Amino acid sequence: MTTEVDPRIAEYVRKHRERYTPEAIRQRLVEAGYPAADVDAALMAMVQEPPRHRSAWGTVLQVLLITIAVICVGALLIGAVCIALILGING
Amino acid sequence: MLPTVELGSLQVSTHDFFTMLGLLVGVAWYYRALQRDRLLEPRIVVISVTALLGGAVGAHLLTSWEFADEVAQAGLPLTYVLTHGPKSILGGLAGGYLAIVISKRVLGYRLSTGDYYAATIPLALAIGRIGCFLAELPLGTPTGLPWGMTVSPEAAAAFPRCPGCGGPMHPSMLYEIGFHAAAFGLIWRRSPLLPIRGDTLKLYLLAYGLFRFGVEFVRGNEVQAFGLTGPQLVLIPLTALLVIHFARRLRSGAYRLPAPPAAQTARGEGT
Repeated sequence: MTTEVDPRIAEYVRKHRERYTPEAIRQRLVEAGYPAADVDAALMAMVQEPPRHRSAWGTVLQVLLITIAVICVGALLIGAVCIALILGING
Repeated sequence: MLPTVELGSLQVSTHDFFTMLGLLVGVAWYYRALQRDRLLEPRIVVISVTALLGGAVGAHLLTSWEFADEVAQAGLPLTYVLTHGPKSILGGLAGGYLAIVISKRVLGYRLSTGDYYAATIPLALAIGRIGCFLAELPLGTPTGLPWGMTVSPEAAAAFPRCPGCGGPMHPSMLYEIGFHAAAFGLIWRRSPLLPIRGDTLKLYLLAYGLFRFGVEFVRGNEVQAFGLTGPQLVLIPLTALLVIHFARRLRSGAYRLPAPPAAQTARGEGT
């Protein structure tokens, strides 16, 4: 189901949604005289838009970041166990 | 008070238990808020995991240098400081924030989600500080005020340094719990407090920075230089950056949204 959105509201929301909060955008538009229901519909439609296109590099970096994170956690855990063992033997 | 918590047959340090509980509740609150606004996606999960890791590293790094010499003299590897050393909330916040900025840049995620952390962080910190309080960490400087609190001699003996342990002390952990609980309540009910995405979080961080700077005077931490404690010295540049940020925002009029096209014109064209 699609809801028809006032193109001026849609354009305003699209232009400012990355910088301003939805609440602030809504308040500004309602203050300017737009019907609250139309503004809410536009904001809802924007939320339902598919996410921004991600490049192949983004995906590669994402996988790389996850790998590094997992390695870091693993290394910390292994290091902690080793130190505990060493301290246990020495103690 | 309560140095350990028993979970069935498992005995856990109260401090660690409440730290983990705070983290779990905070993460759950964060994801729930993102899901409500339909912003939960794989990149956000990656960013938040990176934030937790950055926070963990930052929490250990900020205080580790103070103990590096002692650890080296004891013949232990320096990694011992990272795994067993004290942790700092300020280091955790700074490390987590830095990790978010870097990971978002790397992933190309442009939408600011800082405001979703604005309620999460005080909620998690309030819970975590309950553990600090119950575990009888050194409370604060001596005080004659009616709400001054004492710790048991056993607990006092366990701390290498506790200048106020001989009598009533400022319950600085309770002050922090009060601050974070109030901040959480305000942000939860009234968020976003500012119209620009991410600035509610920055406002909370600024407020906490100023509050913590004041609390340090009754916290009993060791004075490092200029009559100030280590956290106070760290807070000066961090809060200064935030003050500059808000001063620039206010000066540029950034909190006033650009005017939308006139509603009358829009209606006229539509009919």
